[in-house]
Amino acid sequence: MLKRDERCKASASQGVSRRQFLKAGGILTGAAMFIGAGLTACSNDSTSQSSGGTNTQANGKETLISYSVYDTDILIIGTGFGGIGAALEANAKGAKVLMVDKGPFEFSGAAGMNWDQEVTWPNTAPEGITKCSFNDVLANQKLVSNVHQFLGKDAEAWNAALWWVRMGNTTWNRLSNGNFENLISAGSDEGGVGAEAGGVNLVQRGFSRHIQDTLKTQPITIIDNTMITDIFLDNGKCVGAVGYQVQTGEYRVFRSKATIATAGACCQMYGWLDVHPIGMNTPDNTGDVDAAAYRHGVPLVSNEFFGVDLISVHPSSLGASFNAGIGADGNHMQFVCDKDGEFFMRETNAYDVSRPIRDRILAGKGGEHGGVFIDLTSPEALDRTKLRPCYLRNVYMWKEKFNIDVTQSGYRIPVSLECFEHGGAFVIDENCSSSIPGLFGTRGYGLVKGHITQQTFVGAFAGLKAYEYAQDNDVKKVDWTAAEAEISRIDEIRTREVSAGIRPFEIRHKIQNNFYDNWEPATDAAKLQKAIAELERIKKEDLPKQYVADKSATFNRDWKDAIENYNLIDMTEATLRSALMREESRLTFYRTDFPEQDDKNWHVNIYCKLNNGNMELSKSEQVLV
Amino acid sequence: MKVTIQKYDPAVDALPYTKDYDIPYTENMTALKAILDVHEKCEPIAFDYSCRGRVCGRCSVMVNGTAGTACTTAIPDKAVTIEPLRGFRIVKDLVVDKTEFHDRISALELRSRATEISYEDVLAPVDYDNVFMKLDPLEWCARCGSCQAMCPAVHDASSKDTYLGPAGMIAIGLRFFDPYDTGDRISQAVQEGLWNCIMCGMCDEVCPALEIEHIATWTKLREEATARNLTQKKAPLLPFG
Ligand SMILES: Cc1cc2nc3c(=O)[nH]c(=O)nc-3n(C[C@H](O)[C@H](O)[C@H](O)COP(=O)(O)OP(=O)(O)OC[C@H]3O[C@@H](n4cnc5c(N)ncnc54)[C@H](O)[C@@H]3O)c2cc1C
Ligand code: SF4
Ligand code: SF4
Ligand code: FES
Repeated sequence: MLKRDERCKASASQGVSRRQFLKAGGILTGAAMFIGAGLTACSNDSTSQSSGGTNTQANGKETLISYSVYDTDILIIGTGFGGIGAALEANAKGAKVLMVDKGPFEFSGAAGMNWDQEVTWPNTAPEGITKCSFNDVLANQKLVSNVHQFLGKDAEAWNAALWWVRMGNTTWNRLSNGNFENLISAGSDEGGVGAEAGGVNLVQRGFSRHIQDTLKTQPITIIDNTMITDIFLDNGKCVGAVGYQVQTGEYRVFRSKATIATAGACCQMYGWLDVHPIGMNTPDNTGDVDAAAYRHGVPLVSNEFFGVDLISVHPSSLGASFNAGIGADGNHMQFVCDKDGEFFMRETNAYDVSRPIRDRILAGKGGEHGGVFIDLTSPEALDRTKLRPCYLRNVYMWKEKFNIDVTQSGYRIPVSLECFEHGGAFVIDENCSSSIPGLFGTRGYGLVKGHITQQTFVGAFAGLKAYEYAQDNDVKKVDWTAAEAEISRIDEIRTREVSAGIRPFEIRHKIQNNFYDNWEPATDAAKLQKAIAELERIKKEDLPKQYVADKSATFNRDWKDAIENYNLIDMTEATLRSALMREESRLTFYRTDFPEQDDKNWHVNIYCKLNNGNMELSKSEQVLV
Repeated sequence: MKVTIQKYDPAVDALPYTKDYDIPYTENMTALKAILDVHEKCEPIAFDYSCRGRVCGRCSVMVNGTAGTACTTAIPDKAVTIEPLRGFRIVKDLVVDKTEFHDRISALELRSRATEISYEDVLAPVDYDNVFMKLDPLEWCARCGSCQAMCPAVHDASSKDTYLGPAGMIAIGLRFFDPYDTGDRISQAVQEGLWNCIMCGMCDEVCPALEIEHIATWTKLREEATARNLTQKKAPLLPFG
């Protein structure tokens, strides 16, 4: 059985000459992948140059390292909704598109999770940008306006419910009379959608697998199980990315005319609960490409904002999982109660539900677990119109597999705020471009939390802009030195020998607990300073001692964790420092020493930029049209 | 508690081997938690997961000989043996390669339809009991491969190449109930070995998506096939040997 990427490979590197990198011949140029067909057409790029004579030192010995090169017009990092939108658009324009993902395709990212996704869209093409479904309080309004124009005035272009079905989804949720169920979302006043129309349309039961299945019918090359560890720069331009195949350890360099980084939200700093942080996002999203862009001088933005929801934290082995847990999100708050059994969320119609929940906890009305509760003991709770179906199914699963009956009189499910999205991302402009020519993104425009439709729209727009840029950008001749330096860096992480070393997971858990303990339910200056000091200590004392216990290049969790830790530390530092700078509270961001929203001073984004080895922060005015 | 894990690095080892580890049992422990504990407290293990909730399908393993998603398999405070999912190529230790399995299901599950779907089609009522409630459970298939690993019709040498397996059959069933699909899913099911399944019910037993009723789905497809006189088993690909 061959991996799909091995099928496309024209040649693989074998023996290597000393003191230099061996670059295997050009691998493919946007070869099509045909489902079910045994072999895929591949073009062998015989023009590939030989590499420069760089060598790498590890353990004082010379090491021989080989890598493979993949060529494409448009490189897309991440096969989630951002990546899907970008890939479909660039492909439709006629570009050769190559997508790369850290995990196995269709098993990774939020799009690789098969649950009943909620999809939102406005009734008609909205009149103004404040009413469009991907706007957000601090968003770059020029970008939002550009995406708005890109989508146009045709209501069908905005109709995500129709698009999903055309992409293979079956029917949206039905009421018992067979009618289409449309839940109108609350809170259309705060940067939401369609206030006049009475709110945004919201349907449940999207299964993104269908969309990814349909993506596979297109002549788009998908290279999975490959982690991007750095962007590839030549002469100040982004000419691709560098990474390695996590199952085999093979180093890979992707050369592209334009690169779109859409590798998801980094939520991994949010504590630790048996098998995962207190966040439903995927463990693969560790801010790798955002941190890489940051190291190359692109600022990070929106770090202090998280998208949060309530999810069960017991049984802890189910790891704050959306899909094995029982929770409540914005529309399903009626069974949330405090330690006295009071259903306190029934009175509030706050758009941001995290604030009343946190206030309740701070008032001493939370449980010992530090959160609140969900009470499903009344028979009406088990109605799929009241409890989101993806939670309802776990009521039965818990009973059958863990012998926990949450409907039993007196039972309260301990729940906590978990983070499903993190705002932190590298900054992009109104054309989705970063400050590095050739590097595009889908998130860093000052949004507070993301959702599926938004990522698809902005992703598609990024696909268009990357395509346009690629038209007159030639990368035939590039200097491979930077790519080789990156390969040396990640190779050293695996082969490093240290006495009294620390395994990567230990460092990871320290980062996570340090962050979470000083963040939830609310933070303040003292906590943030403490957390920053500890993070600095981890960086200075622990990180140099990080070692990979298993030296094998084949599927090596320690190695992957170790590389990710460098990125997670940067993302966590940006989060803590931005939080300390922002002297107010806003949406899900809550400081007890500055509990009010302060639009006069803080209706701004905070940028974190690397300058002479230090993270420098600055305020950045919201870009208006 | 004693946890026995099958280890194998194809780049180094001639054959897979097992190793025993001793870790403390914790309340409501899942197989995923046990693997992670061994990885963190004993020695590195190659394993993979994402959603922790039976929807990404990435973590499936064999626990005491039965396939399931590690993240939702509760384990007892007794000795357990964890091995990679049967029938798939081992990448390392507990990680297997499901690419071809997944690609095949994807291809089968593409909608078959000539005309574009309109928004009116999307809004039109759907028969709740006979269509929606039959279709809805099938959507939860995570393509985890647990049923495939356990299915005797897939693994038995005498029927090996005649039956697609339960996960793919669920995909065909899904499109059979999909109100927007116009393909002949009954012929497809028969071509893929609908009658080669021995109706043992093992798939129902191991599937982490508790709402999926495999046998009931096979029965429905068989009824439709019978009504059309399509009752033949699929023959092996080679007529000899
Ligand atoms: C459990 C859950 C439930 C949610 N529910 C809803 C909902 O119902 N409705 C809604 O609108 N929104 C929902 N959201 C939010 C929504 O899913 C996300 O905003 C959206 O999917 C993000 O898309 P993305 O493309 O940015 O990221 P992702 O889908 O996370 O994709 C990022 C991809 O990048 C890959 N990647 C990461 N690092 C690397 C690397 N170094 N190299 C290569 N690849 C890499 C990952 O493997 C992943 O596949 C939910 C999120 C989660 C996690
Ligand atoms: S019932 Fe059929 S499909 Fe299911 S395990 Fe048995 S033989 Fe396989
Ligand atoms: S039917 Fe069940 S066991 Fe089989 S692949 Fe789907 S989710 Fe897994
Ligand atoms: S981790 Fe996703 S199914 Fe187990």
